[in-house]
Amino acid sequence: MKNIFLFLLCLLVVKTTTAQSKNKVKFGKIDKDDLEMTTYKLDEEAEAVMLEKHVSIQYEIRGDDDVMVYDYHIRIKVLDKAGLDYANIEIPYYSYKGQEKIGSIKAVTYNLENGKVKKTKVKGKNIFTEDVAEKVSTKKFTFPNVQVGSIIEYRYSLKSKSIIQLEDFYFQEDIPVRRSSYKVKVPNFFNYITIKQVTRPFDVETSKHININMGTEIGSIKGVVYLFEMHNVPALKEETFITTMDDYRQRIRVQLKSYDPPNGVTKEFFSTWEDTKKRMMKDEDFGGIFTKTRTIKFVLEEFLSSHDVDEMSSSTKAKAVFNFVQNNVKWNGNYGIYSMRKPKEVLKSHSGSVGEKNLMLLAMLKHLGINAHPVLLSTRGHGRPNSYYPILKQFNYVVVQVIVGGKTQLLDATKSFMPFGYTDFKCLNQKGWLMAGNAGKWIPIESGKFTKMTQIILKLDENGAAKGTISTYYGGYAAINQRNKINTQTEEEYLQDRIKKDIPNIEVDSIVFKNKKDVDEKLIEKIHFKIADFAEVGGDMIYVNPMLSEGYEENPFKLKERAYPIDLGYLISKKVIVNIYLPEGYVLDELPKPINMALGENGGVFRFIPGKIADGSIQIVNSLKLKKPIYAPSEYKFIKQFFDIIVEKQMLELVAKKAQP
Amino acid sequence: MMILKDIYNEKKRIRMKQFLILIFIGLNVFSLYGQTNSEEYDVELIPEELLIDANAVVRKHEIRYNTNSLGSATMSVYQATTLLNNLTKYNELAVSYSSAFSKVKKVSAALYDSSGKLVKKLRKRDFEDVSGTGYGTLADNSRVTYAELNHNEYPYTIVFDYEIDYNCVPYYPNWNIVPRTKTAIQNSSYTMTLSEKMGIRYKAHNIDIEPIIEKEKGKTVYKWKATNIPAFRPNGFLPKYDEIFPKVSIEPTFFSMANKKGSKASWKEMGAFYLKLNKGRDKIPASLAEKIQSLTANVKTDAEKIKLIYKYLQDNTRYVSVQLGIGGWQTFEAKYVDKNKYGDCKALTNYMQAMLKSIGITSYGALVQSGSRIRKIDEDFPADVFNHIILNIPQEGTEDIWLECTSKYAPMGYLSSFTENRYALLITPKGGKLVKTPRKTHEFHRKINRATVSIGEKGEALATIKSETFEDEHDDWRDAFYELKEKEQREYLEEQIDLSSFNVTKLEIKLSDEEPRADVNYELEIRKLAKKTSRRIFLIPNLLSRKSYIPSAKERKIPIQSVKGYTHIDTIIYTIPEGYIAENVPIDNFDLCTYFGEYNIDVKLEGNQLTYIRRFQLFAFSKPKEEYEALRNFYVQVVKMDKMKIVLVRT
Repeated sequence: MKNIFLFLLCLLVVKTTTAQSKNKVKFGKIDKDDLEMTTYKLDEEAEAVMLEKHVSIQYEIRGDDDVMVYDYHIRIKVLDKAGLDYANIEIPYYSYKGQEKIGSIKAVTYNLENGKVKKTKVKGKNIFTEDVAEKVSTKKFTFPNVQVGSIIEYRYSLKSKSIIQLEDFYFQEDIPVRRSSYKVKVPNFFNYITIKQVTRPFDVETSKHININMGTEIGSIKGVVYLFEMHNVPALKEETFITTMDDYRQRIRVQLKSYDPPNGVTKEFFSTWEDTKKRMMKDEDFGGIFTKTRTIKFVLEEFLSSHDVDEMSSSTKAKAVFNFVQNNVKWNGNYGIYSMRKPKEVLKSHSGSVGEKNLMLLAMLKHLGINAHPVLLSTRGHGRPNSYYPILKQFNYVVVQVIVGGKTQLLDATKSFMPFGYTDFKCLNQKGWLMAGNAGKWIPIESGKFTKMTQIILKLDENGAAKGTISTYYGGYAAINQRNKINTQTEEEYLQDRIKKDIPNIEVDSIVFKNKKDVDEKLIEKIHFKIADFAEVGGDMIYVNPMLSEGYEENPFKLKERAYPIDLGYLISKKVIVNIYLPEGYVLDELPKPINMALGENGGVFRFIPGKIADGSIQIVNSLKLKKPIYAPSEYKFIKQFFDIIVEKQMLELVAKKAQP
Repeated sequence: MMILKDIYNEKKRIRMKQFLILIFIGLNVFSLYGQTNSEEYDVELIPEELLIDANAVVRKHEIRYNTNSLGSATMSVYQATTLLNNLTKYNELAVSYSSAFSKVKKVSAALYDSSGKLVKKLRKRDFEDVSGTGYGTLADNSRVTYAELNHNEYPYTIVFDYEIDYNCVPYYPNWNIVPRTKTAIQNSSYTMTLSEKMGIRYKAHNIDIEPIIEKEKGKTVYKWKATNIPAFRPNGFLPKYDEIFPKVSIEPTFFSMANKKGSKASWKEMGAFYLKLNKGRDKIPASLAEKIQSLTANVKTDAEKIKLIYKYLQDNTRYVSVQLGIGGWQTFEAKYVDKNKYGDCKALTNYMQAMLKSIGITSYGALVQSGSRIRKIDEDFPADVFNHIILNIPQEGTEDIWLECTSKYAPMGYLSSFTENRYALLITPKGGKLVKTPRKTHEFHRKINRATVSIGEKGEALATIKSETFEDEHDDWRDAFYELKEKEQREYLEEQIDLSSFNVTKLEIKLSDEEPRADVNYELEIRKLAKKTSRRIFLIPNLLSRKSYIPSAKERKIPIQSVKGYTHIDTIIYTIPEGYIAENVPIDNFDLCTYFGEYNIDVKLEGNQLTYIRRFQLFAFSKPKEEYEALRNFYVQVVKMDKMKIVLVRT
């Protein structure tokens, strides 16, 4: 089960049935029962409840601009002291060149005092505008006279020049929502489509034909009004091992499909993937970066001045280009699918976003005759992409697909130490849109692999002291993670993180790496160590756990149950082989029992095989494989049990005894 | 005077405003744009000893501060820093300023490669002006002019150059010679051109340095200069920045704000200015006075009255920070707080003070520094180091009562280690008076666990635990009680417990209204407490308090310090399965007694009952660096003993 959500997609079409929308909410008309409420009966622990959350959207013409006007209306009941935080309001908006404007803010606190409703308004001078950055501002205010039991209510309008993609609307919040609705009123010449991310049906879903008054000049035109409403939506609770909670929040997204003016030509907006691709290819900040020779000329010349590509095979060439972009431009932490600056400028600044770096890579590859295409992605934190309709807003990452030496691979030059053929962990989000051919196509993003193999050689003496080596082979994402640490920490910091925090009294004689920077090879690390008080010595007995913290010491799955899938992102393979040499004259008293255990429907295996190599030396092989990147919530309890047994086995205890002479 | 950038005392201090580290960097000695390359930034010229432990070397850092009249000044900063590797953030160029009192006149930057060859420049238009308002603040004037510079090859040098005009000068920048750790200093200087109207006072810390004083065009010029200071890499038990790093505190004697003149010549005068600025802002409406009167009519003692009024404050107001213009220094009026039911620390303290005054109880605001990373205060050097205010209620014969007025949940009279054990400036009608807030030793911050545990045949166990927590040790439980849902409280407890697989089957939190105390009673079902082989059971009897931290084994270059201590006592009684006897109990009694803390273990096995008692105390201390090894050894032994394993074997 991959998606617990249904992605419902449909054109906004007029339905013949229209239900009655009851109890129209009116600003300031507060129900006394709500003021008297002390707990919310559907969630008695809720610190606050959103009684009403509504937006009504309509199209207007302002001067030369088409605008969408959003009227928001929110009413919240505060139920305990922790709920007072909901009285602090921030409304961020895109203020750049008046793209969005916020107005008509009205906010009132209601309290019941001696049986009467007392209103306290937020004064205009107490509404602040913070210019957060060049293009983004925030309206901020706080409600006066708020106490436990208060109801706070506010409304505001947002005018946006963007009429193609409307603002997303969430029916669900971190606190319960008693009623939420999304209403949109548009003239007939706009065709919008909706994408509903819902796990439950709407309580009201209606549409009807209406006349819209567009002012004296235009007069009345025909239009439609759509309404989606949900009642009693529970609070959303955060859990770990997940892509983003927004993937699990009841949501609606609306986008313009086409524009069909009364006396004009129909204009399609992203009506098909094919059109979308065409448009993107013409976009100066996207296709313009890699389709025009002029744009990439400077960067190519820089590259060619230090690389002789004539003699290179296409795969060597692709690797050289990849390394060039990776090493000459530092990632600035920004995402995005576009390159807002030209490659020349990006290279000169030695700093760029995901889009700037990977489109530069794409452009260079293409101009050197390598078969390469962009692939648009949505990172794990940005939400799961849908393939039903070409909505560009869902993408925030671009990587490059290359076909060299008969192999198809995805390249991501964003971060240092990312090997050729890998994408960042954040990209492991099931699928991406490959922009090749006429309409492009959706391709699965193969789940990555995390492999780690550790070999421990441990020699014990009679006093319980140990010395030996730990050799670790890191592959896939394990190597990427580890290289990042090795190359950004001092040796001391690295050792602390790698081993000293688990075994504080370890003395490291040396640590050596192989392929520290050569990302195409396996990363190998070898540590020579001594530990003074390693084994417990009591009389003739020696007790020891030889795993050196390389196994699981506690279960990573602590919660009793779980409501959402466990999304690990990659497949995991961890192997630990321990060879222990007992002090002279000691023999093993008890050997742990082996186990060979599988997790559900081919979900994973764990093997634990102890064995004697000779008198006084023992080998223990631990091998763990998790074979799925995502596990369903129903599998949670099995995974938890699986790890319980792993912990039990890996926290083993060997008992050795001095042999009687 | 002090900027009261208030700090919110709750939610585990996460909301503490993140002050942007304002590095007062250099001055414009020559125009950047006139030149191309700069041999002086050749990396070869860095003395060898400055590369040790350093991620960056400040090549040249010049602050030039010119005061013009009582309320105006200009600061020019020039800093050339060589970044040796990618572990520093000197490529993030930020100028913090207040849009109410200052303006960034110039800002530019340039990047040179390792040989000193100019690679690129940034002009003012390449910088972005962003908000510096922190999370938890509704509005203030905090802004940051920001840009980033990058190069693909280390080392490289960034020259950052800017100028700020000030129209209100309540303080001068200090000369923090070492701006950050892991940074060596090649050249640093501070030049103050002084207007006599403002005056100057200065004091050097951790460095023996005096300024050169010269007359220049009728003004006095003070110049400090330092060279070749090696880098410092921190590890645990760090003293305060002010106690180890070389710096010079520099303060004006006179200033002006909102057309009022102030003096910092003494603590008394500093307090007098605060009083003057906030005079008459403590009037409360008659309706509130009546409410307070009737609320307290039925109790006799002042302490009881204070308790009721404090509860009224907690139940009716909340913390909201608005500090525009002089709002960093001047409080909202009490009647504003009464109407809106919110305010920052100044406003809530002033409001509380006004309510007390209405029934004849005298109290004083007390300016303090909040949190754990505070600046050192010298009694003989009045300076504006405060960022918070609390309320002091003087008592005859007993200890004064102190109130944290921004806390929604604290019991009356409890400050917590957020403001305890430090200097505060009491604002009395006679002016300021430097006093100390209550000091709490390790005996106060305590957690007493009592547990009974029965171990089953397979190593599984049921445990019943009663945990009494006090002061610091109780703070998080008080927050958890109010802020977390039942399920979240259990999850919070689960995070504290270092066992491999268990369930919390019961949890009950009881808070005291009278004192900072929380009693936490819970039960655990532990799947595998003891390890089991075919004949043996292995048990680590330290169920709840296993320490794993050991200070790193590195040569110590600076003194060691622990600001506050605590006490943990665990008494755990195990019932072990029938038929087992002890094969190995490594130690049944163990005592450690040091300057840093004490540690005792007692283990007793009688029949099938095993009693384990552990006591750990960390003290507050300040010791020279030579003691570091002994401190480390203390922890090595504690960590080892905490993991002690008992082996039982079937007979």
